[in-house]
Amino acid sequence: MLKHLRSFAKFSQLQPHGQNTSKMMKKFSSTVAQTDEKESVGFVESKEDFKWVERLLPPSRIPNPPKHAAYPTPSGWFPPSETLPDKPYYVSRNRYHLFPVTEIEEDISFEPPNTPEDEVEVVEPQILTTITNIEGNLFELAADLQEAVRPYSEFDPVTSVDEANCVVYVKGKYQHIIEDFLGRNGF
Amino acid sequence: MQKTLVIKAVSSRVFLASSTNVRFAHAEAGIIPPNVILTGICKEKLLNPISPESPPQHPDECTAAIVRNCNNNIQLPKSAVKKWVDNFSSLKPIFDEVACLNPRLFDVHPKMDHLHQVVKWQKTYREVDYAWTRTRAEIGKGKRKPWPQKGTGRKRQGSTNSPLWKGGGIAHGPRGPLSLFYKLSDEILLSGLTSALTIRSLQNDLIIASPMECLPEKDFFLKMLANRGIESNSILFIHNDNDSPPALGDAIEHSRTHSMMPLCALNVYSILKHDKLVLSMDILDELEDKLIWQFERYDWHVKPHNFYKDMPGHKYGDRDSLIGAS
Repeated sequence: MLKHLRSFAKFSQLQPHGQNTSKMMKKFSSTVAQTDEKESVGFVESKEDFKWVERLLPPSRIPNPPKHAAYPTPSGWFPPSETLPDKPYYVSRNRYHLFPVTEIEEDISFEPPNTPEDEVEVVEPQILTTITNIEGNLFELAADLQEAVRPYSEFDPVTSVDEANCVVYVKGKYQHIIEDFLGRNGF
Repeated sequence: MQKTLVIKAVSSRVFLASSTNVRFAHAEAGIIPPNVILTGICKEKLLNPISPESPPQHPDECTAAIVRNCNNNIQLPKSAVKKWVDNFSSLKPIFDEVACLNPRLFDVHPKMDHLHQVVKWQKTYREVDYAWTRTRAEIGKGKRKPWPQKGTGRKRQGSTNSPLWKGGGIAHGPRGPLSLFYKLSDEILLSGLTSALTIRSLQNDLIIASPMECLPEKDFFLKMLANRGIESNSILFIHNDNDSPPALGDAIEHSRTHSMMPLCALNVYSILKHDKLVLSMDILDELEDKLIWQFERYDWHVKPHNFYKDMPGHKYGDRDSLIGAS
């Protein structure tokens, strides 16, 4: 403190364009940083605090559902049975552990080439329920689905089998009925 | 006077490349005519043929030691695919150990249309069509009208560059480098790969080797293949990304029908191109984890990015392995 007061006294006595003004100006100037050349400021890389980021990163993989005390769960979900059902086919769950049943509207209209717009037929889309992830005898599954759907359908139920792609189509919207059927059979 | 036919020594490579099984059959059935004198390598091969050793039982039917189990859960109705584990350091195969393979990769309903799509994609996505033709503006001959509009008995013509003329421009020809790149969906690529692996496994063309290294002695490799009955097949060897077996590589180096590649280079075209597929034991874990992850992951929201906790093969702390890092 005293040292600073003495040098300040000196500074007040100096003339503006003297020999040592630049040095003194640097000492008391607020814009110039006081850096000593002997002290070097380094840094250390540490990955320890990354754990606070890790907790927030999402998982990429769909987890297996935990084992509940009672099934079905409040949302109505239940797992597939651990023993093989006694059927000539097997329908496995999809990656979200749900039944592989979807309702689609397939557009079966097509425009013939080089015709004016008036002549294009307006065809209603086909309403289908698809079942994928099937192994085994697809025709037996189609027959069983026909019987399962019969009480709920106005007309004779229609099914279609695509063996190359292992898909079964049922005409109409019967997703819940088919899911019940698969659940009852332990798939 | 009976003519004698002397069969001299034939180079081993030519001999092995041909259908040796047919010749062995002739020798065993005694079909070699009596006026044939065998000398050199032919005599050895025909009179002492190497008969391949086949396993005594199917691995499913016997209780052999299971050396490798599947890492991921196997869902109903499938069970693990069991394969004998071979040792390429021994001349004769020993059927001691069994490895379990995941049925989601090796026991799948093979989709032939997906296989075809993947092979077609592999052939064309890298292609660039460099065909380029000149239009009438680029021909660079004269701008002049060749003859006046009327008076001559000929057709009216405006320039000699037109597509009607010989040596003129081409009206609707190919214009410059055209890339044939296109992307296939993950679903089709995966089903193609699993179908190819399944086909090899079902048709007894899949071999699991532990270790996959053969000894550097001369002719060890060929004898080793002959004892397994695969000397006249084209073989694809798959090794670890970091370690490649040096002696096996030397043996295969000058062979047109044998190839070796790391796991990251496994592709459907190569699998189908070669008769047999040999997988080293130490790649089975990585292969299974990576493919099962594809079957069990969430759908990408927009496109793959790197802030996930548990991506196989990527460490979120590594800056070098970030996807899409700019």
